[in-house]
Amino acid sequence: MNRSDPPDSGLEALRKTSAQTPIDVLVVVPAYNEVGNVGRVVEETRRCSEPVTILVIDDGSVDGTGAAAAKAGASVLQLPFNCGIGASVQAGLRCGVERGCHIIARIDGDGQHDPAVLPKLLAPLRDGSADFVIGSRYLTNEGFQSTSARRMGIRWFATLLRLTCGIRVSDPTSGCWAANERAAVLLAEEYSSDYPEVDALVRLARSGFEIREVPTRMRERPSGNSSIGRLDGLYYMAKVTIALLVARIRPKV
Amino acid sequence: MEIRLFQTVAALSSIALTVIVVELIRRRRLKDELWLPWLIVAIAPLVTSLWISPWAALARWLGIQYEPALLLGFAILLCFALLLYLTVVVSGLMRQNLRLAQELGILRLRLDPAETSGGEYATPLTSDQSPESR
Repeated sequence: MNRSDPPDSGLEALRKTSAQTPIDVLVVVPAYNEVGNVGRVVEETRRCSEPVTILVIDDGSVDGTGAAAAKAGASVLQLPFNCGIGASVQAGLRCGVERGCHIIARIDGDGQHDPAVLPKLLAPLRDGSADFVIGSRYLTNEGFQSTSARRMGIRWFATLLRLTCGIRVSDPTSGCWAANERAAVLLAEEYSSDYPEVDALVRLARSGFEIREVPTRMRERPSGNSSIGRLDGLYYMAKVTIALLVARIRPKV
Repeated sequence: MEIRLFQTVAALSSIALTVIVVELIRRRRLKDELWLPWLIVAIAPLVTSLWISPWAALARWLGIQYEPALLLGFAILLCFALLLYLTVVVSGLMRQNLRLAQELGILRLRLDPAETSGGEYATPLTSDQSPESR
């Protein structure tokens, strides 16, 4: 009985046969019911000093998020139903890898990340000093800092990552990052479904990728509600902790 | 060999379950990879209820006072194994399902962006444009 997925080397093959002009920087913007925010995110990203291609992943929104993003000038990858944040980002990564993008960055569609950070995110990738760059809220402690409970959780993950993988990051759950082509290929092949950021860091660290942080400012959500409720906090902590320990003992992909 | 009432009831239940499983297989309502575990679960009580002495011996050897408890424990273990197996199957399906959704999105974008949610404003995914040219 063969239940396993087709080998992911298909990704490499697709990449080689892709006829389109390669894209240098692809900014992936996952968005689920963010009609009030996504247009502004796209416009701010377009105003950023680096030439980038913007791909909004509309994760089965029912409020016209995709149309709003397209109107603001982004390409829109429409998922047929709600697949979750991890699968959305992975869809963007896969799309980018297939098109031969040199750098894939992620900015969330809820408007919490300031797209002005993009040049800072891309610089270490361009000069080859890092493979994966995280926009961290806690390097300079500027801007919106989220609740103290969340900050404690984030510190806990940072400690776990330091102890299990030997990497020092201040903001391991940040959804604002950029990856070079090699790192993007690794993440495109396997990206955990619902709380993927910490898991991704473990896998990148284990595969020997250089991870760097640059300071960024977080903003409070301009409109709408976060996808993580207060009661989910403890569950999230436990789940990510276990996922982190499991990721540490998993065979390398 | 004396057959007691509880053995008859267990054997008949097992036969009934087996008949249901076989009928589902015959009508192709159970997929080929999935019917074997169910057939085992259906037939196992028949064997264990009629052929008691080895179980009783094993129970005594393990120090179990009430011998049927061993069978009950065995049954629970079997159910657990079946659930675990089904969870593995569902995990694979979820993974494949997400992959299909992603591929569908990527292909729709490649095929004709104007027909996806972007409508008249759709932008095809092409190489970078500098901020000035937009």
